[in-house]
Amino acid sequence: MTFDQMLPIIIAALGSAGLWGFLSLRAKQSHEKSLKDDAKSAEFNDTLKEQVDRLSDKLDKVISDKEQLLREMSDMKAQLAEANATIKHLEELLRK
Amino acid sequence: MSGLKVTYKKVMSANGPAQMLTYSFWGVLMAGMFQGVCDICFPPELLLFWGTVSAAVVPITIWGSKGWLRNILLVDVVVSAYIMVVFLTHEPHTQEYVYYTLGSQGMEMANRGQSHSLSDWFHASALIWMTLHALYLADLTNRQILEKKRFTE
Repeated sequence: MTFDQMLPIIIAALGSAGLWGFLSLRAKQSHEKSLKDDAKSAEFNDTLKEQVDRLSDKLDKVISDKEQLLREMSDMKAQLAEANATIKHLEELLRK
Repeated sequence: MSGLKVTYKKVMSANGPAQMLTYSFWGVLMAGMFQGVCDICFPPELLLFWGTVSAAVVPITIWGSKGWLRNILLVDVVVSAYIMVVFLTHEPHTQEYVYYTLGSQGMEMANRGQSHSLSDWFHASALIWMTLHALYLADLTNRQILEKKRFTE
């Protein structure tokens, strides 16, 4: 095989290898960038999850405090009603 | 209306086996069309190999892995590029008498009408297109492989 016959093979092989090298490098870089973006996104999601958990705990505590306050208020109302009844009874006794 | 940007994005991430199958079909047709162009530079064995490589894209698309598909497309790139280079640098193998004419400019070789015809330009364009198309498909498959890897890692 002469050099003239080999030349098209060399040009085809080198040209294809060069173009493929460029394209595969570009694809690899894009893939690595996507992986990095995914990692950043995962970090952000973790922080967000932590915040949501913390807020959820706070909300549970607020709800439980509110329920306790309602219970105490209802106890106070009952005591007040009882005291009112006693006062009325004493007033009636005094009038007699 | 999709617009240029959206169309470009869709082309760059075109999924599905349709274009692999069409490419394979055109590859076989192209190999057949080069039969008889020059039996010395494009022997039947070379054209048969080129056609077989293009035809192999169909079963590999259906039953093969993405890696195999990318590799067969790269083989097609090299073969198409080789045929393209041979075609672009091709000189007719004629052994005919050379005629000279005596004109006002002195002795000149007679015009034998061997300039490139329109058909040659279209053949060359088709070869350039085939090479670039195979390269695009190989790149597309490679990106699909990397994308699959990203979601399984």
